[in-house]
Amino acid sequence: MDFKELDPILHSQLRLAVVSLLISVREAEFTFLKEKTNSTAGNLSVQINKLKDAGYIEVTKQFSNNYPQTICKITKKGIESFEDYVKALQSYMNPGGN
Amino acid sequence: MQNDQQLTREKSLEIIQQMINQAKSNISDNGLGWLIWGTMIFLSALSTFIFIYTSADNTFLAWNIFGIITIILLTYDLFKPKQKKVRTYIDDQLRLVDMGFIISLFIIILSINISVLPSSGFGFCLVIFAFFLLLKGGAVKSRSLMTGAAINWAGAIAMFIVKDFKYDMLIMAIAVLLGFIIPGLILWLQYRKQLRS
Repeated sequence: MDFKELDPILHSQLRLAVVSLLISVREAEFTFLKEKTNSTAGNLSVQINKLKDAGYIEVTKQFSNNYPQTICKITKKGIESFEDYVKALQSYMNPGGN
Repeated sequence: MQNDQQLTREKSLEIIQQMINQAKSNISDNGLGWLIWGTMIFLSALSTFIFIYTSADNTFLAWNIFGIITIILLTYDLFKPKQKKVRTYIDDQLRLVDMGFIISLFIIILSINISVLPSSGFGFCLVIFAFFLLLKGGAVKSRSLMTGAAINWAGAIAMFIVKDFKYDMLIMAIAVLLGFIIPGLILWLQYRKQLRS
């Protein structure tokens, strides 16, 4: 059997949800991520910082109409890590296969 | 969504699938654009038909007013602050489609004012409308918009066959009613229903 190790940064419900959303879109605002993951602002903020510290996402803070906006975007490292994570999951699902 | 629940492999895949579906469902159209533009074009075409039928002066008055309103609306749209919560890859492609559509339409309108016969020029407008409806309808998976595309193409062919310009305007009004306004209404009602649920 060839089991690959699951990335501990991604192997967490909310962080995985955030990265899965960002894989599908070019960039997303904090409120969009909060709405789609059905999480609290505090918890989401903590997880976004962890992903940012790991280099998986970029976070840009800006103002729009005098309101602060936090824009998140996945990085190349984030995309590669996500792909590796999915392959690792598949190795668990299909242990006899390649 | 909690972060500290134990995550199984199956749950991981489920989360990935759910989130990708959530992101895809965000590509939508509230129908307002189709309603506004469709109504303006419909009224302009129908007014022109009535003006010609009643031998009124200033046959193209409605289109001239439409042109001025278009410039104002496009300028406002260009400079208004954008407040989108998410930007998808398709959004970027559709922005290019919008740009291409507007530039092509302006060139057709310019050609009508220079040398092209209005009946041909307006027919080509319907061709461009149809192409735009197809692309936008495909992006938001709206069957009504894509049907609208087919109707506008049929309208364009009818306009090239019919030699009388006033009936060309009537054909245009009908094509835009069926191709823009009705799909716009359907999308708007769907959007309202989604907001309530």
